[in-house]
Amino acid sequence: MIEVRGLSKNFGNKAVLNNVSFSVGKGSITGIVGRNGAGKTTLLKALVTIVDPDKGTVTVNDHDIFREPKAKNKVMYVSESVEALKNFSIQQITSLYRDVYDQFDEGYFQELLERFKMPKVKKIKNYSKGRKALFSLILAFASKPEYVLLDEPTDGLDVIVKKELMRFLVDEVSKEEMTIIIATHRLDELETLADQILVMKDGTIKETFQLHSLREEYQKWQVVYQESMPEALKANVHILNQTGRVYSLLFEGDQEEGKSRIEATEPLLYESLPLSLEDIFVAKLGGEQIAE
Amino acid sequence: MLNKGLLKIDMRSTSMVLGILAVLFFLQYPLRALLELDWLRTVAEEPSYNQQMFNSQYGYFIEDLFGASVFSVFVIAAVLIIAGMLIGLERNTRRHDFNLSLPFSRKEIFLTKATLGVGMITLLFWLNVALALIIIQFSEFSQTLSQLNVLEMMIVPWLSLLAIYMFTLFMGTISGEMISQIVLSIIFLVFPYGFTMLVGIALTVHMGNVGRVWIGMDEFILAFTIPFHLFNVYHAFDHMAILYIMVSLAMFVLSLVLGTFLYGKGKSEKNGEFLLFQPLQPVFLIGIVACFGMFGGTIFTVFIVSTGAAILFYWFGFLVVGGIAFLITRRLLQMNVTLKTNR
Repeated sequence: MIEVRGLSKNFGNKAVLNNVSFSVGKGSITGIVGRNGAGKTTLLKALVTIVDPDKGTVTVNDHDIFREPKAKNKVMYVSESVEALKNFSIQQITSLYRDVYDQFDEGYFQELLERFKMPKVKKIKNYSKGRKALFSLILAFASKPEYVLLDEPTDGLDVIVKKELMRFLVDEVSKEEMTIIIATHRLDELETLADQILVMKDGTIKETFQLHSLREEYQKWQVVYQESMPEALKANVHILNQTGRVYSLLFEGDQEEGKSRIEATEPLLYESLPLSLEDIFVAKLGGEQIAE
Repeated sequence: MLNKGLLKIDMRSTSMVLGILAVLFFLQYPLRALLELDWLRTVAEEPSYNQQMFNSQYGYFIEDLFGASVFSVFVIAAVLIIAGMLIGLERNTRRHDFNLSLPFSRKEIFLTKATLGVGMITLLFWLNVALALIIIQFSEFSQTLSQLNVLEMMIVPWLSLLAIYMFTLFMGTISGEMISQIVLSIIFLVFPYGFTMLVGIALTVHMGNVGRVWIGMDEFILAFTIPFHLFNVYHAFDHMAILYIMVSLAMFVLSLVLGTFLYGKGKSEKNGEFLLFQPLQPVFLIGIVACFGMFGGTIFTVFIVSTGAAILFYWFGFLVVGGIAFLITRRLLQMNVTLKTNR
């Protein structure tokens, strides 16, 4: 289990992480979502000691990673890390990972290279951006970690590579007892992937959602009024969108309760809409531009 | 116990400069030995050269070969760049984040860099020195080896290079990128002599002969200016080599201890900035401005004969050059250089 307790970090006078606490169990996928500058990358970096927190602890399987860096043997941080090795050949990287990670499975690494038809290149820098991202994941999973931390894994990738990458992630998690933490602002990708979502804003975990229970806790309605929505209702809902007299609303609570509250305002028309993660994100963090 | 993986990362990033260092040592010792021996043969065999000239060449053969050489300048530059690439350039690129994410402590990461540089400098230096000695030993001039002073000609330069390397690594733990690491290392490596000279000249300008007392202590002060150990083989004092060795060893140990400690304390979010530690900024600003001011004062008084005018020109130079230094340094302290590429 990765356990984060009271993690705080200031960059100058700005609090980038502010008393962040959460835990992630084995065999799950956790998404960390938030707007640019919310602290997602800093949080991931703190989980592998790239960033030193001012306060707080991070333990991996009960080992404090700042006191026992060896505990990071089970944690792979994948960002643009392969850029650091771009002048290495595949053979050199294999040899390097064998030296660093005791459990590195070279056979599996070769198998994955073949499965994804990775072209043979002299140096890693000769791969395209998508191939580099895929190569990073192959390296990470061949190292047989218990935890994989992914920072914006699909940024700048085309749709086909993205799908390939996502399928690979799901395959790996289903095969092994592996935990994945993904920091992203791509909510659509997490929707089908994650078990748990941590919503970050201004360096704090603002909300934690379990995706399986999300649809029981929130509903989305489209409501049309004769003139405008009554003020009394406005106080209890999040308005996702308004076009003239047509409102898209997000309710917290169960379906029946939402329905009866809408009916009480005597709308012309109302209907339930499918709920997306983006709706909750927009409602909780504000601004439609935050989710793509 | 050092990890092979870490060594491979550092080795890979510095392989080119390590190759250049190997070539420089080869040029400095074995190749020069061959060329000098050839020259000695020419002098011995050519009737146009007289016996006195041969004796002179023969007498200084070993001292010329293992003494001060222009190659030492390039060797020092290569050593500075190796240390700069291992810490400063790493901070400029993604290699630093990658290394920190590996299952090693920062102490292990720093000690790997220290070991790699010390090991490679030692190996390349002694390999080439040994090669040069073998070449001489198997030549008809092997008798010249009796003039060899291992302490002054080999131990002193070797330890000086190690001290310069370790000091540059240490400077990398307080600076945020490669250029500032190398520039600050150069400034502080020549600081004892440079600062004493500047103070001496300032005193001379203001108080006449008092300043000359300082300048007269050149030889002693140079002992604390490690790069000069590689050029200063003709000593005015007895046992100067011992003092050189002690200074180098002290610098080596101090830099290793402080560097190991500070590498663990540096914040990665400060990478790319001139200095990693905010509290050092005013100290450096004042120090750099004061030194450049005194340098400016020195330059402006060079052409002045009259003492009264000299003081006036000194302070004029101090304000002009110090002012420019202030503006540039303030800018440097605010900069952030983070390269998106990596070597």
